[in-house]
Amino acid sequence: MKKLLLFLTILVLFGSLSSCRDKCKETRLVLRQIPIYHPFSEIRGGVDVAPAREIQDPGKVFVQGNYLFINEIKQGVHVIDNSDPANPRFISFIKIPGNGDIVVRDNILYADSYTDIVAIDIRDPAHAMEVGRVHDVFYSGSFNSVQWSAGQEGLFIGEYNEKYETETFEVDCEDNTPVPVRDMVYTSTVSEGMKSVTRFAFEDKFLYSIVNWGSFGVFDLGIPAKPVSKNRINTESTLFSIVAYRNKLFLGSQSGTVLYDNTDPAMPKKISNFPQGAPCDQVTIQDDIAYVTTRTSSFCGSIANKLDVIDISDSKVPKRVKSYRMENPRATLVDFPTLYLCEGESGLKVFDVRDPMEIDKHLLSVKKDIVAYGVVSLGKTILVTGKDCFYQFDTTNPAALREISKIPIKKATR
Amino acid sequence: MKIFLTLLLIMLSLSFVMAQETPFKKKYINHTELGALVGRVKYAQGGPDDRVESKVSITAQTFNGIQMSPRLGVGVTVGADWYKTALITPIAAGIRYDLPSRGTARFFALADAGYGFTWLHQDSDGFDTKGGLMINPGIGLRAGKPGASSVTISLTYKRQEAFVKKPAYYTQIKRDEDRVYNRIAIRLGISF
Repeated sequence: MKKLLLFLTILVLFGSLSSCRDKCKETRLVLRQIPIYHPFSEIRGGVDVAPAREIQDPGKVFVQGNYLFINEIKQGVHVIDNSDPANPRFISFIKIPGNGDIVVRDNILYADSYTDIVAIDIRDPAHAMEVGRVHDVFYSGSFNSVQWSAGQEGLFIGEYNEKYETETFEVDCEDNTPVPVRDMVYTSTVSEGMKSVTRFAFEDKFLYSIVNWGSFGVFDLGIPAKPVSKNRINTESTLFSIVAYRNKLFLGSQSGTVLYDNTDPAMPKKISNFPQGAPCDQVTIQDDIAYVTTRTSSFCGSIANKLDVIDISDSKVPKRVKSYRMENPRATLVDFPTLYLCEGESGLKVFDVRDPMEIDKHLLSVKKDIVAYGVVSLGKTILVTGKDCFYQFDTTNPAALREISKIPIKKATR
Repeated sequence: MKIFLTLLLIMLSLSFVMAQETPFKKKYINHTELGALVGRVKYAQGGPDDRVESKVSITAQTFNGIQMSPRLGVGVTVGADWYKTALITPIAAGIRYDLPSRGTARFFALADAGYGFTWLHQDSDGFDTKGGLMINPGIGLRAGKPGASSVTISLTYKRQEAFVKKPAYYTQIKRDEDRVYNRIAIRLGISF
């Protein structure tokens, strides 16, 4: 009897082994990001004129007559009357949602507005008016390294609703694998990224625009208010900028500058690549010489800070004449024989470039006390984009730039 | 729980006879055991399909106490359980109760209840393992003369709770694990 009991006991216990299970529940508090989609109507109805306001996060500057058009990334365009350079006057702010680049021609301002190209009549900048729009030209892009994209649900502009959720999972009770440090997973330094794509250029009656990362489009401006898509050219690598100069297009791409011939403006044809191109090269052209700046940055991945002088008299075989070491070169402006070169935090350098072989020996002046990101010519003056303001300098004597006025830039709140 | 009830029933069924023996004197007793905790786990991590794995961990414990009556010993049990990612040191109140039986092989019931600490445990980076409640009832078989030292084999059910704070992945704010080890412990030991 007892042996039977013993046997049964052991049997029952072993039988119960099967129901002996470790139970481990992992609870995770997760931050869910739910994309916000904006209806296209909201964006398309967004062009409007607002009272002048302070500039914040400036992008491209375009000069037309006495007016300065200064893009504010993603927001629109500031119109400034510069007829008295010593006292620039804010006129108005044209609200253009998702605007990153502008060009002006025949009193029409062409601007990108997320997916569309908008044509705005600016004869009276205080009462600018939308006169035309090409829908769905662009499908995606980025502002300050924040992506936007158009989809069936609407327009996604990098905005999310955030929601906390608790999830539970059954786990194996044995997890002790360390997790990589959080910062390593996703890093993006906005300051080093690209504000927006310099996507517009003109030639004759044609507007060129980088359409997406790997192609650019040709638009016929026969009727200025109604741009008509004429052609689409695919390129070999990602595009960042486009410059049109004397029947040639200079495309800044991931693999350096690419040259296109657009003698037939509707049908640009690739001619050549610049020697030793690097991502984010910036190009300025004067006659047969192209000045290319390359800057080291985490975003571009270039390894040198330099100014290359490239002879493009034979556009099929661009030749590098000489390379000069720079500190942190960004934009350049050539007003022959003067070259203005923005060195970022290191200021603005002015060179005499009559002898391309000895540019470094002809440094006329350095403005070290300013931060210089960009420069445009206004004829007798130049406008330099700084950190806290735009500087306007009289260039009568390039060896001694004289500051005429400043346009303040409001500190960006991001 | 099911197992615990089963054990209780067996204990009751075995204790129907009881005989008075020689006058009793309280004395110190020790019961030291070494064995294995066996069980399994069923989980579905990141997918709909369940996966089952068997688990074996080493366990050691020593019970030190006083023989209160001819049958009942009470004391404190201190042990160490080497689970795969947790070394738990349970400290518990324990009883050893001899079930009525004759001969040199006698049944006894044993039960420990207390708290498992993680003093000896070392965590991977970012992890923080905390112990929890522990219960460990069961039945054993003792071979040896009554009143003298004996060799034991025991079969018990062990439930050990633990709590683990884990490092969070990207988008996660917090990640914790409530752990319950449900194991059958098979132990060999000596008692004196």
